[in-house]
Amino acid sequence: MKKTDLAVVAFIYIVCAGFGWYSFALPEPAQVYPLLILCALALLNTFLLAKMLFLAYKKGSTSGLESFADFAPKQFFGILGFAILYLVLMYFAGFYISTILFMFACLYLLKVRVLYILLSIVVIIALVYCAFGWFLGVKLPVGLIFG
Amino acid sequence: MELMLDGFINALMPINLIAMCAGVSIGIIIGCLPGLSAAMGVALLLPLTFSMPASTGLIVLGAIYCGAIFGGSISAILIHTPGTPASAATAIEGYELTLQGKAGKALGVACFSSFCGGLLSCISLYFFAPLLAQLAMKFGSPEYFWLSIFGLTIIAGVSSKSILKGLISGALGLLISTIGMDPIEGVPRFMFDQPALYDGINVTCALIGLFSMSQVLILAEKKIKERARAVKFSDKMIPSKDEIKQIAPTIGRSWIIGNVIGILPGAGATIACFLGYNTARQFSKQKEKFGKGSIEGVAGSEAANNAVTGGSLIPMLTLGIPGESVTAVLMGGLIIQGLTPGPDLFIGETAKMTYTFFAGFVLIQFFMLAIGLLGCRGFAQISRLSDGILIPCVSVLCVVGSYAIHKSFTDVIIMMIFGLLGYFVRKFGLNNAAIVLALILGPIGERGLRRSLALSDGDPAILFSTPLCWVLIVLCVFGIFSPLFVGKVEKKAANVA
Repeated sequence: MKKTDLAVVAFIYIVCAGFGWYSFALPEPAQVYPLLILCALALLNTFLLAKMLFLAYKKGSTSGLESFADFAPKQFFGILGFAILYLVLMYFAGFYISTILFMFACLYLLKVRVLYILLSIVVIIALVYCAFGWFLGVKLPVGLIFG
Repeated sequence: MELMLDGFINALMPINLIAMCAGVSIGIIIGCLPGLSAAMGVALLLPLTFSMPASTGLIVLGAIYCGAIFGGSISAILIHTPGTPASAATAIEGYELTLQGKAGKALGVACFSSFCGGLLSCISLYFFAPLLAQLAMKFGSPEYFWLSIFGLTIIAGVSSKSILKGLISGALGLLISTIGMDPIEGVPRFMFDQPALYDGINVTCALIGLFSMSQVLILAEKKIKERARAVKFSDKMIPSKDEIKQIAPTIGRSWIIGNVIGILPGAGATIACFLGYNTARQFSKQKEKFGKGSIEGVAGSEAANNAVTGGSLIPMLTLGIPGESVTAVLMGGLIIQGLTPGPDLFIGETAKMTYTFFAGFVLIQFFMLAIGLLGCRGFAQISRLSDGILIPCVSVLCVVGSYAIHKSFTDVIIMMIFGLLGYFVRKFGLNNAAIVLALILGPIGERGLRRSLALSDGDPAILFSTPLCWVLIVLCVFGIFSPLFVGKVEKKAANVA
């Protein structure tokens, strides 16, 4: 049994409880289908829990953190943080400025050579402009500051 | 016959030829980059097909699919790292040939075998798809309910590691598919006061998040390593007559294997490549060459994984049941174009579009052969592109792709949420493909169930009232137990390889 699977089981039960609570607020005919799915999900989750307990009893348990063995926290959370900042910045400063800053920050964090950083930014901006701006005619966000 | 001819005439239009050329090239690039998969590539480029005519959009996506499956062999042969899991068996013999200075030969055989496998798979696409569509035309609401249940049991097949976790992923996907307006009662369901969720979760955003953004996070969690330098080669790529004679029977066998595996929901190109390789070794007159660089090994694996492509489209196009992740994404492409996958694709004006896509799929194989043979040297260099560069580039494409669908910032946030969900789903052994299949099939099943019950005044006996319902129920049972069989076959093939 992997101990991390307990987190999966707990998460699924929380989802079931949350959606179940909302389901009862729906008019009766609209409740049936979501409740049917919720029951199936809760039942499957209980089977998983039972299987885990059985395996723990028979074979013991492992931490389950093997899948995070080579995890590089600084790099991962750096990229994730930049991605979230990127969306926030895009809302205010628009697509192109935020994209340039996001790409530069990420590539710098990932220790890419300056020449490749510049090349990557130019290629992506040109690609997005040609494919989405020109070919599809998508008006990309200009941001609150410039909009 | 007339539809087939019309299809070829339409497919030969310049816009479609350009689409094939671009799609195959992009597909090969995605395929030869280890870490990027065919499903991810198709999901990422899905938004680009919005403004195209339906047939052209589908041709682009089909070309990316075929190109990516072949592209995986380039890095497998040159740097011993399969670009996609479907080329894992190719790496065994391909890299041995590279070490002997025969990289060109290995790539040439891979390209030629991929072409033959893909081209032959079109035969079953042309002949089985209309037959299955005719059968599907007899389906009513109860049958559609069971059909979606059958599709959902495939989830168990997609997730061969743990059937239970696969089914949980599917149920989670079903739950997510209920977000939005209730289709019968017209009341908001689980919308959390967000008007943007009125039409439910946008499947394309979910696809981009689950397949592409989650992959970015997977790449970002490990220290970036420099890839091995791709070997420069100068030997002749085009196989000689004798070599073609030698690999022809292998290609034939792999075609049958790949096609059957492709049609079977839940199995995919990865299983096919190992089975193709294994069968090539069993029937080879030069068994001693296997493991030391055999062109038959390369041909067996590559013909089989490309033969899957045509076969895997059959259940998706005729029944609306995608059997694996790439076809689930392709189905998303159909839905975006306002088309309903299923027998309707073979009726009236839509049939013309479908047959144009079929014809395009045939021509794609020729483009794959030409671009593969001419561009291998260039693609080989691209396969060295560092994950450090890929991470921000793919992130930007995910953001712009999800924004372009409705020009809505909410879609970008949904994509990001699904990206994070997809990351944790993969880390904890759940299944992204199962969530996607459930997201697509959920509304079909719900409509089928609720319409059936409305027709019978709430009597569930209607769900068991026709022989077709029972056939589908039997298939559902088969779907649940198929992973046990598929898992055994996969294990055996991998062990032997």
